[in-house]
Amino acid sequence: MSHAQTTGFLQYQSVLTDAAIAVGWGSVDIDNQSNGIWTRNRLPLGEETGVHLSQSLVGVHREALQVQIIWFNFETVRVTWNVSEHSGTNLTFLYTFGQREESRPNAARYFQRGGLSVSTQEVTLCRVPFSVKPASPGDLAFLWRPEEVTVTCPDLPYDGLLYEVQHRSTFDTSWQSKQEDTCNVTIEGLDAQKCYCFRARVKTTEASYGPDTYPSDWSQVTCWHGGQPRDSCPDKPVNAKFPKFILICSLVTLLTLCLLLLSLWKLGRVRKLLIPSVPDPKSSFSGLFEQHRGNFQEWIKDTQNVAQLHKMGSGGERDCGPEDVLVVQLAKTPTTVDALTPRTGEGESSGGSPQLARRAPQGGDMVSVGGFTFVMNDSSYVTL
Amino acid sequence: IKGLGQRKKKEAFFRKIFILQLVGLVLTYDFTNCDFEKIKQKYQKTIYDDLKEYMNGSKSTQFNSTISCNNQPDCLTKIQRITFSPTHGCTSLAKEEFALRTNATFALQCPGYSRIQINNAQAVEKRKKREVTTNKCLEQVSQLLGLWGRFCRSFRKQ
Repeated sequence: MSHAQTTGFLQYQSVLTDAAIAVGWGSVDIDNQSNGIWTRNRLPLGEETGVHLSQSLVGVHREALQVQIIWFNFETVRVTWNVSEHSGTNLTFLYTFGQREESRPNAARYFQRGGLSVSTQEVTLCRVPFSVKPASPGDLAFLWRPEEVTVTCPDLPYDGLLYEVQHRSTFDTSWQSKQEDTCNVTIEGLDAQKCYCFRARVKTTEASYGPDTYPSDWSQVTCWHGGQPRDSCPDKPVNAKFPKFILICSLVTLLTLCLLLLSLWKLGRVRKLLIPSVPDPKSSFSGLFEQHRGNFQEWIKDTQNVAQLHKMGSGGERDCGPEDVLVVQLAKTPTTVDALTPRTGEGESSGGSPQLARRAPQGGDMVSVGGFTFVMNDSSYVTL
Repeated sequence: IKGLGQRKKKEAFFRKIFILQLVGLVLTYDFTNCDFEKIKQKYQKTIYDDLKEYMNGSKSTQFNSTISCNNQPDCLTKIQRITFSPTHGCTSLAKEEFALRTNATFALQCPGYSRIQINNAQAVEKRKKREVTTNKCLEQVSQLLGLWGRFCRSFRKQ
């Protein structure tokens, strides 16, 4: 019986007593010794390879060990376990490989290839498939056309994968994503004047690989501007826009302040314009309220030397109201005005509105209003 | 006598046909000549969602995936067996939506695949009450998810 020894798979193959995370890497190299001669064969890790953690102490469960198995890019398996809670416990990691048969959980050995003897306490701590993590896509190629770009890369030789490409311009706050079944993704609606950055990764589909998988790492970010590669896209030109923005804001603020000041200065006049105040006769008629207690007629008599005209409310004459009080200025001239010559009945309109009738002037024009006749000269006036 | 002889010949002929049909029912269908690509596409688009819906939130990882398959015809053979053959503790999978779609897909993409198999299974199930989804059935469906996934992963790009 040949003796098989595996190498290159684990960093730690000895009994683990330290409270640490132990990691095993790599593919499996099998050294076979037969008749004293060692030969090495590398076994590719494939779909049907199983990994097992053998425990010398029964009762330690995989959940307590926090075993994690990741199948990197369908080539390399990494097994991680945590012994920190079991310090002092002797744990030995053994791994086997080969064709996986139908369920025989209690089989002493059902991996025959390599001849590695296995413990009867072997517990299967993995499932087929392992949690897959594809490799990051490499050798991205960009084919630019007007307003679109096609990103390509070599497909992994496995089905059930999705190739996701993300892009972002300097004006975007987040990455925009598109994915296809093959690494041939066309992104449309791009602006040739903008600078864009791209990255890609590979994901597995749940239908083919189950829910416990990991997407690949993102590829290196590559940037393009006008169809030419760039080291990076410039940051959003905030500095160039910032002074202009400040200038505009300052001008607007200044203008607003000027307008405000102007408004305040003209506030009285503006207010008068918008809300005209009720005229106060006090200023125009001096002494009207102080001496004559608002009696305008007395004020006139006293200050303006105007004869009060009485309204005639009979004889067909209409009472026209206070606004029709007649004020006639008597002029002190050599040619006196015959101010009061009541007239009745002549020249009065049936409508009651006062009419002007003329007589032959005697040193001036004659004005007849409300039954009174006045002789006017140049310095006289009639106010109705 | 001549007529009797002819009648017996005819009876023998039809008996042979009948026996051949029975043999066809009994023997496992050979999936070698199926259109695997189209079967895979149908699974990814519809059958997978039906299986997940049947699991109804139960994680397939809680069950040990103990059944595997080696190649595409082998995978389809095992899928058919688990889907349509009643087992102890789970006899009603054949009536489920995913089973009907699986049968339709096989009938469409596999030349010579007969619908009689599913009809027979349905005839058997009609005599029984529909079972509540048991843990055994969930385990069977979990195995199916594993087999279908293995079937999909067996495709390699050139």
